[in-house]
Amino acid sequence: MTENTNAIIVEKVKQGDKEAYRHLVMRYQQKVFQTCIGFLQNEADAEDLTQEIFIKAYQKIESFRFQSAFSTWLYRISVNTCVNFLRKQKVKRLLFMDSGNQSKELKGVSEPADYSIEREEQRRMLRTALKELTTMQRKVFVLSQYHDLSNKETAEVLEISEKAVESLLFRARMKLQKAVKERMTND
Amino acid sequence: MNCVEFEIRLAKLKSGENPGDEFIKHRNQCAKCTKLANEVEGLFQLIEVDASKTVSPFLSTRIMAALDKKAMEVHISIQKAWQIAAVSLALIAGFNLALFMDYRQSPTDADSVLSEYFFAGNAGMEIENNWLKLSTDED
Ligand SMILES: [Zn+2]
Repeated sequence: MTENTNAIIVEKVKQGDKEAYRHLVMRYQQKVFQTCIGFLQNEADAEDLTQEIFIKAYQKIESFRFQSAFSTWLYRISVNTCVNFLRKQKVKRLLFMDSGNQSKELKGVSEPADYSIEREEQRRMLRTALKELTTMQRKVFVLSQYHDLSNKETAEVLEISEKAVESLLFRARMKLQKAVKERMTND
Repeated sequence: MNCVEFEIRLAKLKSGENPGDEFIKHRNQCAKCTKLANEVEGLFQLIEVDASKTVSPFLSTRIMAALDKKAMEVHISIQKAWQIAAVSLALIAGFNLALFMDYRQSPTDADSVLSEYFFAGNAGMEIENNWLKLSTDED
């Protein structure tokens, strides 16, 4: 599906053809889901949020003026929705001192039957390290590592320069390595 | 290459990229950096596994159903808004009508004076005379 086809579909949706929107959902749901997995580290939450993102995009589609590719616009909504979701979750945890979600988070993405304690430990470390990242570092890291966007595409989604993406990604990876080193020291 | 330089190079390394001879040489010589590089590699493999998870085949149907539900909710709330507006208008109209009827049936003293003032042949003369008399008395 090219950007031209996207534009035709978007126009149809704007004119009230809701069914046309299904094509956009089918085309981009996997990528949006990957972004949500990167932020949330939990499959069930990621699917719910993917749904929320597509509903939000549908409701906002009137404001899409073809100034960027539809995918860029959609990924921007995805990233912002994920960040807002995490913020709300954090506030909820602070307010209710809720540690219940933690256990749900630790299971996270379903594992094959032979997954080891080592893997679980690795996953825990990854989550801890991801939480240490600043919002921008995390956005860049997820778009680049989970969503597999190039630096140029990431820059377009986040409306920053490619240099900034490079620098944020480097700092994010250094923080990740620091977490690994700390774990190595504790072992 | 020392350990710090190794770490910096490791953080800049892209997947599938050749890290260079110096990097490989240090990795082979330094146990600490070998372990770090292996651990980091393991993390990125984990990320790859998570990122390759596929979305449920029913998700698009779920999304479209949710959109239908939202549209229905909006339709219902618009209908409700119209109903509320219609009931409110009917109430206001009824209230005004009751006031009007009440007014027609039982004029108050003030109403009588006013109607006398406007409809009598010598409209309000008596009131004016009284007033003039009062103000004269005051003087
Ligand atoms: Zn070293």
